[in-house]
Amino acid sequence: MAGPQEQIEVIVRHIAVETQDIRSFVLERADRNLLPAFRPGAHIDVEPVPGLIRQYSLVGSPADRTQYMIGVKKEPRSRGGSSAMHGALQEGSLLKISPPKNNFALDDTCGRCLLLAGGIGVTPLLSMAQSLALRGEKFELHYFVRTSADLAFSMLLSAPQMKPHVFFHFGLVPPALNDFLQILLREAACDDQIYMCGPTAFMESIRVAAADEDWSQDRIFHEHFSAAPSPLPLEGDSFVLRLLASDLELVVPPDRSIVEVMRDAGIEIATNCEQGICGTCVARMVEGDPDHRDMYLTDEEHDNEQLFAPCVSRAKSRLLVLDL
Amino acid sequence: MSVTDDPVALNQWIACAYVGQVTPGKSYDTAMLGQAIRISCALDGTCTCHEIGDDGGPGRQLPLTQRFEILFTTLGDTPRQLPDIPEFAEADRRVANCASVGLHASPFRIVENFLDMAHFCFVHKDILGSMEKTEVFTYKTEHRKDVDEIWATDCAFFQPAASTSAAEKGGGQVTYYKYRVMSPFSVMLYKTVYGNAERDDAICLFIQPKSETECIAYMPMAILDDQSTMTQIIDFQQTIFLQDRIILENQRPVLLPLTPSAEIPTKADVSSIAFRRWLKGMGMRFGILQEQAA
Amino acid sequence: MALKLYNYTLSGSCYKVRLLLDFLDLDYERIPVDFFPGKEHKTLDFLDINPLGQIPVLEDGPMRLRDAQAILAHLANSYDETGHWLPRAPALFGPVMMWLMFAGNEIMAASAARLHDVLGYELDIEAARANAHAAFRVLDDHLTERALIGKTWIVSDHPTIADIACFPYTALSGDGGIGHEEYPAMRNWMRAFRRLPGFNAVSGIPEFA
Repeated sequence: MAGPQEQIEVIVRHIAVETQDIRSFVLERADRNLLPAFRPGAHIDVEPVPGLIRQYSLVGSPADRTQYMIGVKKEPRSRGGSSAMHGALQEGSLLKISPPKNNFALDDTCGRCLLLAGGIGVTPLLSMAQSLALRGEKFELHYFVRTSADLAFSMLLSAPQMKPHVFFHFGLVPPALNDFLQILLREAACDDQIYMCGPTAFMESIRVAAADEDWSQDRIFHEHFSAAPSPLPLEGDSFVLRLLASDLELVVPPDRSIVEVMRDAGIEIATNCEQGICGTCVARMVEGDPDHRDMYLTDEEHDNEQLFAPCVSRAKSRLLVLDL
Repeated sequence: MSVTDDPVALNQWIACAYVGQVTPGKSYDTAMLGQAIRISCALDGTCTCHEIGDDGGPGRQLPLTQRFEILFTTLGDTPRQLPDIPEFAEADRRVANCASVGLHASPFRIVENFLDMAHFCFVHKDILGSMEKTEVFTYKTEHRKDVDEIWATDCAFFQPAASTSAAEKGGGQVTYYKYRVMSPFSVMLYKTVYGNAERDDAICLFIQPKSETECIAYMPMAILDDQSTMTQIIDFQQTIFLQDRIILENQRPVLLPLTPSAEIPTKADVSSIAFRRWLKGMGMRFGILQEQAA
Repeated sequence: MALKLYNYTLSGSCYKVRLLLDFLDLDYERIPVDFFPGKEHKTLDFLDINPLGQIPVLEDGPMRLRDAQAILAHLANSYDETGHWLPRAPALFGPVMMWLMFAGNEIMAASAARLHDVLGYELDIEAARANAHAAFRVLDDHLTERALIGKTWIVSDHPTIADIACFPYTALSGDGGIGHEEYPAMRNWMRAFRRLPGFNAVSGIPEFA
């Protein structure tokens, strides 16, 4: 936040459980005045506890200045932000926010808009969709989630003016995702625009598909969620990770953990400490030469090469196969 | 309070009194695993142990054995053997019976607190730890299959006054520890002796779980300190334990969760994690938090 | 050394005396007594020192004193040049004595609960806790009235031996299963007490009340 004079004090009017991980917060100005106007795609800085600042997209309709709505996903790796929002805030809590900022503005002059959302990445696209629906524009919101249980903001999305424009896609991951994107982007008109938000790998798949279909870069807009904590100090060469249950191959670069790479690909895996201590993420190993770096498994289990802690351990071989 | 039906908990030798606690000619009522018991000592010093029936009279007689300055009994038919701690038999050691302390806490939380080096600098500030040096160095944990015990070795920690004799010299030192979980209800440590690189002090903690959340802790030790008086040694040990007590009684949940995701561990908790895996592996239910189905 | 204290570290009564010795910055010798499990205070040798078989006992030269409250009064009378710890003004002296007796009588119910829970003493724990709560109610009401007129301490504008005598078993009551939740004025007073220069804690005193 630029300075305290720019802060707005708001009261948490309503908290709703959207999915197991996502909650929405309705905020109203503590002094009962109208909130600043915002443009579709805008976000605010939120200070859930003093000194901790996080950015959240405004989810509600820009036409409504009596309240802001934000969506917060509880990140298992959170070092405070989302757990402060999920844990400390209650209905009636006061908190400080910044006026809306917009690095992801909707272009007024566009033709048809393709809004592509992966998981919690739907949040900045929601205000865009509502604004487009209000203006009677042509648009499509494609919302990719793992299962129907991960679907957030279903109330907003099922409103009559939204319904014809919204398409849900469940459990679509590469390579099937790539095939679908190719078809979607091929059928698009030449002045269409893409607004996308979601995991890095998801957006990368869209970029690749768009490039294959000759989209020019200046018609593709994206917003990054980068609340990730600093990467773990992992070393070693990159290797190929084959996930049997997910039927997927991923490249694990030297500077990223298996769990991080899986999450980027949209594969959720339950973790807790992410330091190789608690054993939550331990999986069955099928093939490969493991480089065990955890402290949970015993020496004997390490030697047996059947169990593997993907949050910290890596592979010495070019290929590692896990039953995930 | 009713007695547990957990066979794993029942088949343990459990501390029920320290030597000298029951006056000859008198008896002492206590409880273990939810079962009320009575220890009676004859004038010649021989003691017996009985369950106390619902009518208040003596019920089934229980075996009683004395080791490490403590009386042990069991409710099970095939109890796990008491551990071998040879240090208690070494003639030049001083065996201190530091009596017992009551705690409103789960027996396993007490074991984990004993294993935890990270709390030294906060709970035992200026004695077992210093706010300037709070790092817990990486150590090694193993499940020793031959004795079915959990060991943590190569533990090192900076301590301003690790023991009575070290406290008097001042300045502080790096103390080396080895931890040994000998049964679900007993744990001990071997600790560097000030000025003796060859041998370690042996300090034990035997826990009597009266119920899942109420315990009596016994702290016998076999140490090489030839300077401090026994009163000073006991005073030191009790001071430390009462600092732990206030922390232990405020831990939530009171019972121990065994699902890995229930609590977020740090590097210093590797031995606790091994302890929890071990309890899970033996099928312990007594004193364990029953998880809600997701 | 002229001053000798027969001491058991975890005893709240010995702690009263150590607190004042520290506040007055007096040198003294500690003679450790194996109160638990040794019950040294009940041995014939110790009964020569105090026929009541209780600690603390203070030796000051040829004088031998028992009872924590009496020892506090003696130390303040003899060694406190400011006169703050034991004020002689008629409006203050009586109230200090009254709260000193309260510490030696009613508040000792909290000590009994602690002996039961920590050291396994056999006694009526429910009665001990109920009596301690009744005593804390009286102290908390008094401290609330004091707070309403802007005062921190039990009697005077300065802490007195009445505050010292009331502090240990009040602060240590959690050891006996008696919480401080219902006593906000007492909590404020304990916080202020812990900030006194020369204050030393003992095991079981909560750091963040």
